[in-house]
Amino acid sequence: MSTRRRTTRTARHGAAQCRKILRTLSEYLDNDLPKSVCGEIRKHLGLCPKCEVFVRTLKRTIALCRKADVARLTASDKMKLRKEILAAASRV
Amino acid sequence: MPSRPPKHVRDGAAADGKAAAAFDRLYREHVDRMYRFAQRLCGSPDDAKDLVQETFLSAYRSLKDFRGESSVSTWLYTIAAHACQRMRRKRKGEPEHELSLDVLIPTSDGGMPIQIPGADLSPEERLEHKQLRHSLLAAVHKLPKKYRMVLVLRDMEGLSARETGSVMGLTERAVKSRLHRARLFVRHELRGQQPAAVAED
Repeated sequence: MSTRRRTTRTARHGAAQCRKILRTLSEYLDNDLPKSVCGEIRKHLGLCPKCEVFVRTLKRTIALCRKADVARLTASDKMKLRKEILAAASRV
Repeated sequence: MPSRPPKHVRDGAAADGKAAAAFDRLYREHVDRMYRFAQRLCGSPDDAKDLVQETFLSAYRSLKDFRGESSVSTWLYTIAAHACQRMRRKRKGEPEHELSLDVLIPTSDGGMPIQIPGADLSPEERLEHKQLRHSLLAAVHKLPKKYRMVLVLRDMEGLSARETGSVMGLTERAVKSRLHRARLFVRHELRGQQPAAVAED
């Protein structure tokens, strides 16, 4: 597809269509939308580079969340916490 | 020779022993998961330990009432979510505010972000990127509580929308709505945090 033709078709989608798509992106990425709607979104993304970048950044954000780890409790902290919990439980 | 304790005392001791054993098993199997959840929610190790303590103390007291209608982990998440709310009320933090889609979704070409976090790094390499991880956790912590809880449960702990709704007392529709706003917010916060080398032109 030529650049000129692509630009023209993208513009035809318009900002309203972009905003409509962007409002449903999480459901799209979570496979929570009907197939027909997903097809429409895919079609739009193929024609609208800005929305496509938006989807990719959102996808990466979700992937980062899924992979982000945090520190673990040490064995001694676990024992200490357990002791404190049981002590608190026996006070009541 | 000391006399044997009466039957009701012996029964009580046996019940206490069973409860303690059940609690020990619960604690052993779930403390790591609950601490990870607490850290993601609270942001600081000390607050996370307080939340874990509150959670397991409540679980200890209500262990006999657990009917198995949900999984043990969902039950613990629910207890932790309530404990978290109680702790926040005590501290009287900042008031909650709503996240507007109109703010998080760009209205013009100029507002359309063009960067991708770690575009040319593998997932593992990105995780090793200390700054990016720090920025992510900071962004999650900046989320208003009701959005943060949904994001942490869904995208970090891996619960389904239904399980998240069950933990928070929300419909699936409400979970999905909050989750989308939370993801957009975090994405928005991460813009520009990544090195220029990985930004998309």
